[in-house]
Amino acid sequence: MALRLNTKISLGFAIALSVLVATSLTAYAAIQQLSRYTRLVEHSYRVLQQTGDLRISIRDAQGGVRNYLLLADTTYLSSYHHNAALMQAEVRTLDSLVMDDVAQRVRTDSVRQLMAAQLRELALFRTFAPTPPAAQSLLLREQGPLRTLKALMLRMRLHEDALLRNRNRQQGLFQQLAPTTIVFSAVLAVIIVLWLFWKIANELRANDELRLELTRTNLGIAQRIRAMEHLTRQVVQGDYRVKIIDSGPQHDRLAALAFQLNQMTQALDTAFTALQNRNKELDQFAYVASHDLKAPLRGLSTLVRWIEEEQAAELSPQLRTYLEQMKGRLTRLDDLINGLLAYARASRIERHLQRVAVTELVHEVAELVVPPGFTLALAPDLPTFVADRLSLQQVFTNLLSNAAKYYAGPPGQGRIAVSARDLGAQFEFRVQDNGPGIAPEHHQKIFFLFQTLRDRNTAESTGIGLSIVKKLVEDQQGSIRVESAVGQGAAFCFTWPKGEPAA
Amino acid sequence: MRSVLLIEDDVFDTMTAQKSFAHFNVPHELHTAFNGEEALDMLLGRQGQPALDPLPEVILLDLNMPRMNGFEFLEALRAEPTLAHVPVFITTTSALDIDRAEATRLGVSGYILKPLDFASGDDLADSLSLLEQLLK
Repeated sequence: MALRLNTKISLGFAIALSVLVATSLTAYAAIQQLSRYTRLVEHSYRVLQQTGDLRISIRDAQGGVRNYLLLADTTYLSSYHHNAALMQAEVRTLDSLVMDDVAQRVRTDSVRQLMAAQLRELALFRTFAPTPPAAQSLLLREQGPLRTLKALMLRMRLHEDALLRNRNRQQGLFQQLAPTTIVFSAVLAVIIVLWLFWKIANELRANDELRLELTRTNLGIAQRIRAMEHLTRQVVQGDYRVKIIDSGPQHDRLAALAFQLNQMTQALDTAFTALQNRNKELDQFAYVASHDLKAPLRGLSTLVRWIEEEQAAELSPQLRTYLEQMKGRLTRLDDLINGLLAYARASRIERHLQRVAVTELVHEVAELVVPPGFTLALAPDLPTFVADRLSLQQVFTNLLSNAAKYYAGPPGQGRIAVSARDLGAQFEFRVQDNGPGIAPEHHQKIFFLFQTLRDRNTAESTGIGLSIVKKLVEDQQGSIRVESAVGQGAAFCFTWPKGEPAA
Repeated sequence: MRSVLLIEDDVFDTMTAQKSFAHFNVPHELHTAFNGEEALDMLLGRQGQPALDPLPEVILLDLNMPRMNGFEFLEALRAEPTLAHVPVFITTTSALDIDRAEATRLGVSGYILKPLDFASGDDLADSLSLLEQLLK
């Protein structure tokens, strides 16, 4: 049935209840009928009893008078009187008893008339002198009426017997009906209740199974989601080849998601591979540039040198000046090519994370780019953390070499200070020098490619160093800024993220 | 007269080598050939010119030249019984361009990066010092 559980239960209980009520009503009705028929049976018995009593009374009354007449004993008259009174009472009673039965009433009327006649006769005979012939005469005289009465009584008895039999039968019927009905209804009610229990138990069991199924499904889903989390974690750590094998059999949203994730990692892998290829191409390009561009450049420089060395005597001052200019520009060209290569190489994304002790790193770098005579002041709390060593090294190299290069004060008093600040997810490093400083209006410009604040052709700088630093820092999702004013040195502050150790 | 044969097609590189020899007072005479063909002519005495005598102590060979490239020359050289023993150094602008396997098979003694500058230090220093020793 498509009814809801509550409706089923309510219906079941309603049925059980109505069965019980029907049972009660039926039983009640049965019992009522039973008592009615019992009363009727009793009634019939009483009628029969009355007719019996009446006959006896009549006989005794007759007997009384007869005996008096026979024996001339007045004591027998008391019996006559007594029974005469009884007769009348019994007839009245009989009358009232048979009021509902027409046939019997007719007979009772006859009986009453007969009885009345009898009483008159008996009263008459009582007045006679008590002699045996009188008694005899009484006897003879009363035979007829007695016979009639007897027949009447008999008919009444038969009639009443029939009634009695019928009523007995009915009574017996209801006597059986009542308990049967009760038992039947009880059984029905029990069956219904059992059926209800069975139904409810089934529903509860179905509920439990459903809950189990749900838990199982949830576990299944949790597992699949765990697989996806694993995949994303792998991807974050740089493994793009990982794939999900979705364990769910159904084609649901999670399966679709898993498919999409796989496609995503595929796309990432493809993109990453493309990037790697691009890097390889870049390396080739860089290599080609460094050799094929620089070869003729070297030739030019060498030729100029040869001119200067071998043809020195024939060089006019003007020619010398021209040659100087040429050398300057050739040098600049060489530096530019070198700078470009360095910048190009700096845009490679490959990161090799490892534990880096910054103090150690800075010392290494300083050894290469900071000339002796410079004071290197390192803060004592420079951290050791997981980072891309090569990139960080390049940054410090460029910054420190800049600081050394641009120092313009008295020799031996150059000072570079390196300190660090922990910002939670990253560190902020500060490289402070006591060089000439940078005017605020130039603070943005200095990070641009090829930007230099001095005469291009005399400076050793190509203007690429800081743009490389900016690129490296920003590739790490960091930022760089300069704090400086003319005559107050310069402090370069950049942030560097704390890496997670490679899985 | 001790000599060295330089096989080189770029005038500039030839001049560099000449000036280098002069600068470092290398006692050898520097013969130059423009290409492998010419070199063989000089070594074997073909095309109406006499063979170099004595044979050069070292041959400096530029790998990428027109007409007969370096490896072809090497093969021809090793095929000549009289020339097979002469040590050959390859000069090149790029260390990565060398087919090392082929060169080793043909018995090359070393590689030298151009420009031929004995003062330069690079990762072919072994070859250079070897050459220097030969040329002492």
